Amino acid sequence: MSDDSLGFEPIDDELRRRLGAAGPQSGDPDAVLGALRPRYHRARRRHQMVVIGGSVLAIVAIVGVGTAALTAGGSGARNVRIPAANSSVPNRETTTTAPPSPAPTTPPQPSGDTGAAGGGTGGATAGSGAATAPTAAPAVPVTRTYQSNGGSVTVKLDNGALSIASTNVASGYTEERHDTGPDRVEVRFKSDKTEWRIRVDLVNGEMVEETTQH
Amino acid sequence: MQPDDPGATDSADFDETFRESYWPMVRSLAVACGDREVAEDAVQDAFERAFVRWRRIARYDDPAGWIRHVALNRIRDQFRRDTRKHKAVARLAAETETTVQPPELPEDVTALLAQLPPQQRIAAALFYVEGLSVREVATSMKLSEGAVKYHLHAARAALAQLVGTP
Repeated sequence: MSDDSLGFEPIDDELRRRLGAAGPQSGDPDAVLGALRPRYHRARRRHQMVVIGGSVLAIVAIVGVGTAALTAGGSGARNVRIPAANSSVPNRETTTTAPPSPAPTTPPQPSGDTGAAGGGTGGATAGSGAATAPTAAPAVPVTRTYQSNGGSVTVKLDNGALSIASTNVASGYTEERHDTGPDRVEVRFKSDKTEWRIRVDLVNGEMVEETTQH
Repeated sequence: MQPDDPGATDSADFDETFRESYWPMVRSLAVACGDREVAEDAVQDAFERAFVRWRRIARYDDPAGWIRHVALNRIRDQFRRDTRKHKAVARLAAETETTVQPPELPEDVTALLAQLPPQQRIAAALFYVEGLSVREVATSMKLSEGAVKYHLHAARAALAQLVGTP
């Protein structure tokens, strides 16, 4: 069982025997898995809901930006890819896809999606660009503070990695840091009678928090 | 579940990995950190994270190695907490002018293991208790094989003084 490249010595067998005997007795893994399965399925459902929710939020954001641009256009043109001559509202999507002509060149689109993104190739580009935007890590660090009765945790998301910026422990509680990143941070606040856990996961570039009492 | 349900296949693979790896991981990490409850907590949480991402993790060369690495991160957090606790106790002892006796050699091999640096404890536990190869230990600890051999040699030398005594 020992790796030959380590250089086997007779003491290895004795260490294997003694340290092996020091470990806990093995049990029935199926029984353990059966008890854990509901918790694992709940975690998976939460993860899936967050992913779906993130996609919905992204679509809402696209529609919102497009609607705001349409409203600020003023000329009645529905093509937000082409800035109106009198519009002072910047359209970030046009930084990469704006056509050279200031006049609308495509007919208004009845679909809400293209209405938000504009017509022609600019709309398609904006749509694809916007669809990928939520999955990119934010360019600047983001910090959020999460509260519980046992204390609070300020979590920082920087360059795609989570970390604990600071904590604040409530009176009567002690703090334990169970995970410090990069894709999860978890802090537990314990008192004599109860425990509060604040867990933040990095899902699809977003911080997803779960606070539970044990 | 239907046989052609991809979720069923995912679950079968996951279940098999759990059956093969759960108790060996718990045993080795319990020896490494000296606390069965902490080890079980760490391994169960690591399997939970793998379950949520199983479609991706299952494609890795060594899914169990990924799970073990996540569990080890938890164990290292425990080591840091223990170190802070021991330092606090030592400061308190110094403040109360307690006479410190020179440490005696522990009679128990696990107690001696607990005195080793964390990397040596983890490497020794994975190698001797879980029976991993040097390469598998290196994958789980995210170290080079040379670094793992260094830690194993150092741990063996430290433990030999106890094992070698009559």
